[in-house]
Amino acid sequence: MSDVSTTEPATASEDRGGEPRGPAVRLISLARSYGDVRAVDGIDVEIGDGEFFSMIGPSGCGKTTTLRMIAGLVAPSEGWIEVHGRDVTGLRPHRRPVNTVFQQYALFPHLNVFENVAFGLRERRAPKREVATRVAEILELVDLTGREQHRPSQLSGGQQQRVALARSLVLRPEVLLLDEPLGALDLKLRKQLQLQLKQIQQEVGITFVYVTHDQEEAFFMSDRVAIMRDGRIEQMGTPRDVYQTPATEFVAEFVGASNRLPAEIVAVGDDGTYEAEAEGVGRFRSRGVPGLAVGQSACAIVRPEAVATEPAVGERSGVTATVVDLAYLGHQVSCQLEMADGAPLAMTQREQQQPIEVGRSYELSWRLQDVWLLARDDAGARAAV
Amino acid sequence: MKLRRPRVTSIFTAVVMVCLYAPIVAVVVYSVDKDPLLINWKGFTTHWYSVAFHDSRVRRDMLTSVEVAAASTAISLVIAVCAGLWSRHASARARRVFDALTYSRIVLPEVVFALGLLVLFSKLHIGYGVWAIVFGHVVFLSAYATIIIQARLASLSGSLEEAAADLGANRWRVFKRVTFPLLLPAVLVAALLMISFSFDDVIVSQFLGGDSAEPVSVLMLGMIHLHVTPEVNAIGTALMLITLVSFGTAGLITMFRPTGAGELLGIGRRAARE
Repeated sequence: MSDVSTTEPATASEDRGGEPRGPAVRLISLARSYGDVRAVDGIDVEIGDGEFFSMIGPSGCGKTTTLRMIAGLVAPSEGWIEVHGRDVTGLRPHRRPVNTVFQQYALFPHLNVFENVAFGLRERRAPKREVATRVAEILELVDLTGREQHRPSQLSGGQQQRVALARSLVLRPEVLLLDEPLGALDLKLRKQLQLQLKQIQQEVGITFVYVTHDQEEAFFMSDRVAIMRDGRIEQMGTPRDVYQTPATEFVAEFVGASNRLPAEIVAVGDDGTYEAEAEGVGRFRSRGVPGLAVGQSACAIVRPEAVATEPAVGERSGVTATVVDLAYLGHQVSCQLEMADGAPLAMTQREQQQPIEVGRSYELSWRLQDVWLLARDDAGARAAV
Repeated sequence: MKLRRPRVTSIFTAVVMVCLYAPIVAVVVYSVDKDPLLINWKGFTTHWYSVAFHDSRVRRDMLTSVEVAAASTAISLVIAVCAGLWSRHASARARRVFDALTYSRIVLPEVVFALGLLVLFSKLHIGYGVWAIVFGHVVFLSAYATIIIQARLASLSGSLEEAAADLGANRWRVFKRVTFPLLLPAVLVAALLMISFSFDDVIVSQFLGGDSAEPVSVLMLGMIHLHVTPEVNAIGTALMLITLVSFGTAGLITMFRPTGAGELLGIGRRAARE
């Protein structure tokens, strides 16, 4: 687990005294049922102090329900929630040391920006002068100084989003929960705010629990991510781990378009590698998920960017395939190819490496270290799309 | 092809409109006519208003009407806001039953429940008077108010209240700082409508007023038993003005703020939504 604490812990747990005890958030066998449907099906998670943790997954995977349970807006059917070692499972939302940035911001339309941000401080009966300085400070942090008197309806989407963030951050919560906070914004603004959000998180050092269906966004910002499916956590780890060594086909598909070549495990090595055989590729040795058995039908994951138009010699393996389509994406070219058995293969290449023509066959290969083997699960892969 | 103007329906509509509004115009015209017998136009005067204003019975009854309107409006608003808040969290079935009960108070003939209350109060030996009228008005005014407040609450996103709770407000504080301020335009509009309904009401006021309380609408009814005087027309015009101002203000508020009364007042969807 990576644990980035950029500031002293005191900022993260104001008013509560003492050192943070235990992880910022701990979910223990947490579950929530709606009738017969188990929206969240018993998850265990530990989130470190100061960590930027994301929960991602397709809609209906249980990520938002989990977040709302941490906030206290939904009561768990089973399990416990701890914040810095303190059991908060039975506490009402207003008694929890966590705050939420809601999907549609939920700014109070009858209050101006200043009063929106001051809302929580006034609930805590903070002295007037303190309210003024803290609101000014936080508006400066989110770059909204000078907008104090504006109504939310007079602000752009991005500005509203930052008011929502400021409104929660000004309370210096132990944990900040964010429910798809950028979901309503256009792509360009999203990118900009992703960066800003990440910088703000590092500046204030508060633990962020972030929910999104956009894996790219989660990977860009997070220290760790949890990929959820049908109320369970399919895999949890650093973005790099999840991307490079996905645990299941569902994860491999969800975290980015990848080539999945059907393969069969032929031998299990001592060093965690396997020998496998795939149609059109032949035998090769590569790493994979622990626990695969000889004879098991597996799947070899090869990222499109790992595929190159080079012969398969030395530490490489590969296939021959025909180009069926090309797409120029500015800095790179995305190629759709077809292998001898008709199965599709994707390759992305830097522009101008070597001219590629539609209809021609190429010898393609990848480094063996770029291959990752995992157990076959077609249903999972389909669910991820 | 150009559609022909539907001439028959145009004429019919125009005639009907004239017939409907002529009496109202007549009331206003007669209230400023010098002729005490209301036969011919003998010139403009405000004399009858002065007569009405200095008539102690009219003044007393006007005050009664104001008291009844204020009390029944206040009580109905409390009922409506509570009912609205409850019904948001009620089960679908409970809500259906509740809605049916609410609408029935508007749809049922007023004479019927006025009679019912008359019998009830007499059995319970509760005297008739101002409070009996207030009770009767609350029966139907609270139904109108409930419909308006409910419509407004339905258009409010629950996430605002969730956000307030998340920021540390307990239930009462959430209501005070978020729910109620957002409801306020609807509450004002409901109040204005109820005041004018209460002023207009004759049946309940007549049945339950007894000897001690006589709202101005009942007074008018009594006065025309003898013959229609210019004074009655002056009182009628004054009542109409009160109603028009209330409705007009309610309409204006609804045009600029979401109040939940848009459908009721026939003001477009724009206002009915956030």
